[in-house]
Amino acid sequence: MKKTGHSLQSPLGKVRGYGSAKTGVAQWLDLRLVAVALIPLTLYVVISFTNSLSGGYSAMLAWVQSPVSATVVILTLLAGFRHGAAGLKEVIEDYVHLECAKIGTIFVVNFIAVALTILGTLSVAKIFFGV
Amino acid sequence: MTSATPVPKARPLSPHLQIYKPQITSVLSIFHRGTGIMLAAGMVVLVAWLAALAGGFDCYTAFVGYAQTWVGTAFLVALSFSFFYHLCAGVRHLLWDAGYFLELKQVYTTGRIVVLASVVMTALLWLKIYGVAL
Repeated sequence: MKKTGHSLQSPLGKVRGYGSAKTGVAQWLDLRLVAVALIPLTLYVVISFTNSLSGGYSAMLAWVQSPVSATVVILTLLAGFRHGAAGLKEVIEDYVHLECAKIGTIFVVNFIAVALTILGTLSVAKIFFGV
Repeated sequence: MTSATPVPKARPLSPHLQIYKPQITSVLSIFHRGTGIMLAAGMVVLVAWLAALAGGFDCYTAFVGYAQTWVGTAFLVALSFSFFYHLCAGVRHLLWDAGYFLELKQVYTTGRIVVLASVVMTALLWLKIYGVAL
């Protein structure tokens, strides 16, 4: 028997190449760093949104037209969809085992997340510039 | 003698959720995931709200009309609870990641705090929305 170094990975495992992709830590950290950013962002959105709610349509327009609120809403869209897509990816990886279905579902989720981030940001921009 | 084509035997699976007795640890973990999925739906609703607001008064009024049906209100109550729960439980997770409150007793205590805090925050939010308090 020929020795193949000190690797504990089986020859079959090596051929299939399902080992660590070496990007796990970055994904893990990203989910958490964005989560920390979302704490003040979402609290600001929920509290200031609720404060303007009784004023109806015009109060809501004024809320989005304030530069600080518009900035926080756009940041919330960016961070929220990034965190949401990363979270849904973990759920999909846990329950969808067929490789092509798994990759396809994650792709669709990421696509929707990016599309809705753009739609939300453009809506804020339209309200902000008062078109 | 043995058959020429071996039929692969169904391997035993490890026991899944329905086998175990529910415990506060596992139930809260499932809740964290469930509320996270709910919040992903909430992000879609946030964009719909922004698009409706950008669409003008009639568009916005139609959106508010949907939100004020009992289905819409029930969804928003569930969404607000999901937000506060996921926020509190998320902080708990971040503290765990930093190495705090990992003793079993602390896990139970912080779990109860998270549930209580998220229920109280949800109640306060809706009292505020209906103009009863704050």
